[in-house]
Amino acid sequence: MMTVNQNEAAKINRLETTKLIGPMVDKHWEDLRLAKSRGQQNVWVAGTFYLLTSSQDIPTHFMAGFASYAAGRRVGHIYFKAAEEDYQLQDSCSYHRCHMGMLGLIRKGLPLPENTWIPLPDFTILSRICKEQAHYLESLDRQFGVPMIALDVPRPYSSEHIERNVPYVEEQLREVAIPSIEKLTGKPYNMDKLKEALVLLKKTALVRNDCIDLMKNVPAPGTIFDMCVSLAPIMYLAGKPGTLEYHESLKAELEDRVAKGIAAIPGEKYRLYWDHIMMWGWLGQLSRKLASYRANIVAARYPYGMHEHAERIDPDRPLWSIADQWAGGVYDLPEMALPVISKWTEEYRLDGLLMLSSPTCRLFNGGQLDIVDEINRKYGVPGIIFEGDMVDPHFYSEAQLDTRLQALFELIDGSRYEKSASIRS
Amino acid sequence: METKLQKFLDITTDPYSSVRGAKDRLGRKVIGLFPMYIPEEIVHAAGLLPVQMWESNESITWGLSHVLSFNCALVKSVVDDGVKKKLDFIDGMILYDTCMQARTLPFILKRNIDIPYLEIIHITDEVTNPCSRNFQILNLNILKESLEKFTGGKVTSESLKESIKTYNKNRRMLRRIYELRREKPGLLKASELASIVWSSMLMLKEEHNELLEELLPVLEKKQMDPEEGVRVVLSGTNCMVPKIDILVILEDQGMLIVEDDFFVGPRYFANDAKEDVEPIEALADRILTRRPICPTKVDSEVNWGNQIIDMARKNDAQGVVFLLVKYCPPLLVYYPDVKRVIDKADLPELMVELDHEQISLESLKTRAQAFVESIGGK
Repeated sequence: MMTVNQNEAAKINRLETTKLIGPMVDKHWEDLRLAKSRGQQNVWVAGTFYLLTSSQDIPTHFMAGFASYAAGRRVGHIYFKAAEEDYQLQDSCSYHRCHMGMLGLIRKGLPLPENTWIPLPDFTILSRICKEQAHYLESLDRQFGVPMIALDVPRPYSSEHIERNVPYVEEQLREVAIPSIEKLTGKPYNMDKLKEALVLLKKTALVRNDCIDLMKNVPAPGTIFDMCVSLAPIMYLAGKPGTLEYHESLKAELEDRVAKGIAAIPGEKYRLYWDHIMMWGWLGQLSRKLASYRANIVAARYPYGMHEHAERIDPDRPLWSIADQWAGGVYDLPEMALPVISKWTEEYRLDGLLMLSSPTCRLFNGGQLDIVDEINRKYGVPGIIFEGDMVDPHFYSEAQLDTRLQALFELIDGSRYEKSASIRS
Repeated sequence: METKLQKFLDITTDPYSSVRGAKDRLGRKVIGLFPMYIPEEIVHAAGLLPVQMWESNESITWGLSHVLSFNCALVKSVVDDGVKKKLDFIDGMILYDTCMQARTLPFILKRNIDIPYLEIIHITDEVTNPCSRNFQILNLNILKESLEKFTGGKVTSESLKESIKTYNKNRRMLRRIYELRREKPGLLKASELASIVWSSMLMLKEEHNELLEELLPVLEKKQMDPEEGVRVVLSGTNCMVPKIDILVILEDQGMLIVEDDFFVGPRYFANDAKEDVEPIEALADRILTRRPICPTKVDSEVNWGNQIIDMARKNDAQGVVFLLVKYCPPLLVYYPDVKRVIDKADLPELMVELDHEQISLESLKTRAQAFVESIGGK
């Protein structure tokens, strides 16, 4: 039986540091938007190899980042509508449709949402960590003739695959990506700048990983939403000024909370795991909804899988480091995810799994049903799956989530009651 | 001719019984391959019977405990068949990440199906990437060694070359049948042709070659009456077998199907593997061949839409029917670009969405009839 009234005002102790991220992100997208008018090239990246060009001071767009930015700025619906009017199909990736809608408006010379658009790139870099993202840049090539640098990044099913794949990806970075960037920019590639960016990324990601570790505290000093909005400094802002300072500030604030026993969610009652990419368009609504149950999401393979092993970054082997970080890690495949989620179930003292399943994003969906089953069998920790989307409201039903959340909390309560009853007897 | 065609139809009408029967009769273990590009020749040379996995015609039920409803029909079907033990005659599977959904099949199948052999290999999509070839060769060698370990035998260069010859022969005969359809439209119904190609994916190639050798002379000799119907070409389906009842409806409504670019069609039998080079390299090179266009491969120099227009023009077709597999990521992203190009060329197009649970056939009949009328039929 539910003990929390969902209508009760949600109590969340918000962090001060996360307020700093907005201006950093705004500046990034403004630099991209204004790149052409400043006589600069700009590059779009699907997958994760943004550091290759961002380290060279080329404004670099990260597909997922822009879609979440557009959703956060409440312009996603404009782009989705424009995409549908430009042949795009609703079942395709919502990030893809967000971009295609924007490009459709640009092609037709129609008005764009103020300050939430970016111009066509001079070239693109695609990898196949998500194959659909790669397909979208291929489409850019077909539609607009934008040159693309296509990299093959096989996903690892085991550590044996990682060993095999990393040298292959490194070879492509060396033999394909760098020469192509030189050709398309007309400049020699500055490997020292890439090394510098990696030095800063490594420091920043290690501090970020300390922040993640602090989430193991009961009660947790932050929420997954804090961790998600703090992702940009180790992703598309990696190597940029202020990123290390951001995470040092975040860590200090979290440590202070731990020392003082301050919970992000006062009276934290349920500690949850989140599966899939975040629902960027509903961060506030989702965090308030969960807080009303005194539930806190404390672990997630996205974003925790990003640079989880930052200690392996070797700036003196820059291309190997990039290949190593992305040819492994991420935990997109269920084979790699299940052991990690199992470990986290214990380490983060999880009570339940909250699995977003997105009909338009297939990066984390596969195997979710079996993951829930396995964690429940092994640890007695229940999980629920609900449908939604990172940015497209069409696929999200709040009523469905409410019903499933209530079921999850009832399962957790029931399990707790059984445990306490067995102790009493 | 009907008797000879019936032999192909017998195989595809019930692939489960056909493959099980072949296994018992030949004494070969069966290896299911996830379509489209795992080289069957390596499996064949290992003394096994390779078959391309197919979509069942039953409702998906138990499988939905393991795979979400918004996966494509093939992925859902393979999982459903697996957990229902309909694939218990399959001794092994070889999988690769054709798409984002197929990528996660190994986990689901390993966890829920008792299967003696399951190998995952990498097939590159980057057909223009200069680093791809060596990595593809490495992966095919890994597959060869894995199969050797499974069978306890050796896959020699000679046995591989023999398999390549057998497969090339099959490809040549299938290409000839397609040529004959172009020369004599109406020679074979689209459903019959699909059955001929699909059966090749389910049989020992030597046996399929024998059936083709019986059929081809009959087709060569057959005289055709003047063609009737509105000439159309078919495209789409990606890695799935086109649904036979849909093909039948299209033809019943007055379409004369003159060409297609299906996987159960030209993409399966196009391009021989070279017989005069190291066989694993020959098979890797065949994977890296850029034509026909496939939506899963990266190739910046071509647009599928233009290929479809060419296919229609060369065959004097008045329209195209595109079979779009629901929840197929490569098609979902590529189709809008195809549609844009086809519309610009004023080539009439009918898009039919395919899901496992069948669309309304009555509604399709009406749409197909309207399409035929709109492009000049009666």
